[in-house]
Amino acid sequence: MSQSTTAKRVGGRVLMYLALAGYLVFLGFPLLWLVSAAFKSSAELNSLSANLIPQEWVFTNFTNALERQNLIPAAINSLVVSIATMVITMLLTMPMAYALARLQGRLRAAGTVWILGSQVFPSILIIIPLFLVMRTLHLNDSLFGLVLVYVTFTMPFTLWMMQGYVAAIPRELEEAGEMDGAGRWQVLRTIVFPLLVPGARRDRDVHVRVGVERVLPRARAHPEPGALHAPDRAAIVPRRGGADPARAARRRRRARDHPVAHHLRPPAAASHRRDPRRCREGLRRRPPPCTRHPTQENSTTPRERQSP
Amino acid sequence: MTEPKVLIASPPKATKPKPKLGHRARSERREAIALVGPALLPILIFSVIPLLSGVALGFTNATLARNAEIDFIGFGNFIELTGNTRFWGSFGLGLIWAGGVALLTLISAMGLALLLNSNLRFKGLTRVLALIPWAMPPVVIAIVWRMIYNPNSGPLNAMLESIGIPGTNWLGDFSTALPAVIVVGVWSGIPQTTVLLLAGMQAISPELHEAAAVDGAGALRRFWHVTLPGLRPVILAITTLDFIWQFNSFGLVYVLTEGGPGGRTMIPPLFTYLEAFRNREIGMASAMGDVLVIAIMAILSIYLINQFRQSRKAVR
Repeated sequence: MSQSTTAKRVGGRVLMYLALAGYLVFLGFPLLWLVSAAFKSSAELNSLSANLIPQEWVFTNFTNALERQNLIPAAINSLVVSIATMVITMLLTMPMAYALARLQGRLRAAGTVWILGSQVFPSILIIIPLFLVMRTLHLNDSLFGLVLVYVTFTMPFTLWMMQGYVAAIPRELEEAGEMDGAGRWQVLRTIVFPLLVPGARRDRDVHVRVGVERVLPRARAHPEPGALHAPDRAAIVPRRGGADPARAARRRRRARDHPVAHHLRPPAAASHRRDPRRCREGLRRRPPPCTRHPTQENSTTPRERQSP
Repeated sequence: MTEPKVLIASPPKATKPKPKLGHRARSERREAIALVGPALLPILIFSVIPLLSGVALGFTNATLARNAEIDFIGFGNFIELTGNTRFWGSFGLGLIWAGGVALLTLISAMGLALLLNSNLRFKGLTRVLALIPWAMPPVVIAIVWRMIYNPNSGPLNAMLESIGIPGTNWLGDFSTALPAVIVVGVWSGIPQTTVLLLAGMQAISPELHEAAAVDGAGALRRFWHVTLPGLRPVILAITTLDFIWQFNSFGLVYVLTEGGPGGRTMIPPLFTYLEAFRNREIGMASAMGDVLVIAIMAILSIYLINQFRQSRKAVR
């Protein structure tokens, strides 16, 4: 009896390894083929033989790509556009995310509608009028115009993430700051925005990645009209890296040592509930209070939690 | 700062009549404008205005021709569209493509996530390798797969012929073009779905699995009664989003087949694109875009209603 179960278990493990190997081949082979093709001569690429290892190693493809195809200036363009997009997006979204999360009412509704709506529309519907707008503003054919467009189309995703982070900052912290005589702007500048920085840093990585991904194919003169439709699918995914416990601990320590935090420390249960780490751990079974989904967001807004 | 709290907690109606706006409420409104203003400008200029005018273009006979007059023609485009069988054929293809990719991605990503969640060796390596498709832009993905599918020098046919199966022109054959394109879509979608499913699986508390195991549930039943219900929200979210993204996706199929052979992979975004830039009928293309938006809205509303129901249950 026990022998048969162990045999079964070993058989199961073998099957699992076989499946894993199958996945590896399926997912990895195209990359392998891409690398091998990079070292093949064009004659061999067009020949009838299909070998993974090139018959004759050719390295001129790389020098060709770098010299003749202007890959380096294109990469620099991408880098400039990505970084500019990131900086401007952060500057614009942090205040707006705060407004969306804290100030309720019509503004919030309009913001939610826009965030969702801009995801749904097919790019083809936006591209033509967008081109006309850009042409009227004389922004077409310029990197700055590209940055502005990227900023606009990465904003929905960033806004959505950021307002989750804002919702996770205890309101008591702000109130403590005001008790100490800080004005509204000072509260925002010295308490709210610094606490948002870890989230912003996470978002920034996504921006640079997405920016590069979008610009590269275009820089190589591939017509890719779909590229303007953003946010790119890659941008929608929460990174697991956000759940870094060391970083969360650092952040909590910073919040605790914050000059205004001494006045009012939330009780243990509440701080657990509002632990910003919880909302960054990706999707959970029972969504934490600061989930990013609109309907769930509505059902657990601070307003409802506070009203008796 | 207790007063705004009271304001917020009271029903929004109380703040509506203008004379009642106190000093606090007014300053709050000013603050909101100052906070939102800078972001609002690019949103309005580059997103809201193009979006609305894009929708409006569907009701005109605009073309890409120079100096052409644009006339408002009401629902003319849409009436013409109802008789356009090629568009509806493409619409059906789009549903097959997006549904096929979303479903197959879910199934294969679920398998991979389950494997990565069990304690096998080489897990770290697999996790890294599983992200490969994610790191590639759609155009590069399409180029690589075109090489793989190549009927003469592609490795797929070479492999099949070495075991005695005659090769086919995968992307050029009427019957294999759509499945071949769907496989590429699945390949490019696996990493993201896997990562999300894995995150969802790790959020399910191990005590549940242990309890089920103690009660004598086998691996299959544990998956069916513990893992799957726990993953339900994630599955629903990612499949809906996958469907919408694939339905709207353009680059992959455009580079792979350009809609061929004989329109067998002509998914709606491609069809609309060709209508706009090959036939130069922007008005008609925008009308098609409007129809696609309505279709996507319908799909999205299913998802939203489901989410809403669930969140209400959670509140109770």
